[in-house]
Amino acid sequence: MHISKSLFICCCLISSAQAADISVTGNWSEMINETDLTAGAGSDLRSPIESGSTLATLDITNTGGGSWTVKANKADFGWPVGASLAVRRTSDGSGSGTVSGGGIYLSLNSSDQEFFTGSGDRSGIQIQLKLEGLSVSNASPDNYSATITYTIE
Amino acid sequence: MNRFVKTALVAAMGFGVSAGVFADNVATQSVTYEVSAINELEVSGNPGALTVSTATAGQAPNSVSDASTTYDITTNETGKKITAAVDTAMPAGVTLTVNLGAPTGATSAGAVTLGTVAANAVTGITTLNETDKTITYNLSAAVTAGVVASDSKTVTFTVTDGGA
Repeated sequence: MHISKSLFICCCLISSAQAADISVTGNWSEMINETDLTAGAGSDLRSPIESGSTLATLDITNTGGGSWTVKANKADFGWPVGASLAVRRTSDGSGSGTVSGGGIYLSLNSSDQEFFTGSGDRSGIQIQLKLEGLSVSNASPDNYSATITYTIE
Repeated sequence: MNRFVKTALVAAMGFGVSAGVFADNVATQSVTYEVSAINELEVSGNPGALTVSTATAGQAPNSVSDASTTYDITTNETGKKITAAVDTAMPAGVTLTVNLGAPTGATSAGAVTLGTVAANAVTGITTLNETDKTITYNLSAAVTAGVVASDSKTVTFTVTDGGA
């Protein structure tokens, strides 16, 4: 009886240890000034403003070969009304697993949304960000920040 | 008893590993951007030459005007104004004025006499981008000015703080 309990606990440990891990490398910082006007004086800010296509990389490890889903959400405080942030995947990365979806911009909000899916370990999955909806009428001079949270399940 | 201790130990280890794995299934990334103060004004070009050369007998010389140029403006700030000034003083008896059309929500000061000290031309400008706002110059000369040699002036428009 004691032996069976121990085995059960060990099985739980193995299962927990194989939960996938995710890490991200690369943040985005952007300066917006008069050079971002579409046509100089009289014009408005260009939109969208995109990061480089290889802004950041996601690494997915410890999957045990299993399937996974990456979700994403955004938390911001005091952003200009109408401004939005979107993310997309620009490369498959490398590794023994597979990756699918996420190639079209996903507009982020405060709730988790499915970003892309896959299986097995993948590293170097590149992502790009896009900022939309900034205007001289809603973007007063200030510093704005947000945190994007990626969750793997 | 011994078995109970071992099981408890394994369970404790399991809890620790599990907590570590859960912490790693989330990754965060920061996005920051800074919006600078943007105050851009551009004129479409130079007006034509203004020449006072006619008069009606018994009256002051006829003034002349030019409304061939416009300006474009963008600002992401509030409470801005446009001032206007010339680089060197006008000759005695000669007056150059400028009248800027106001962007939406702002107020034009009407015909403003240009001097070397900046004068308010438009006030109350707030977060806008507009094009083709009118600029009207007017040149007048009193008879006391006499004959004045041709000259040119540089008019400087500035978007600055303080417009009510």
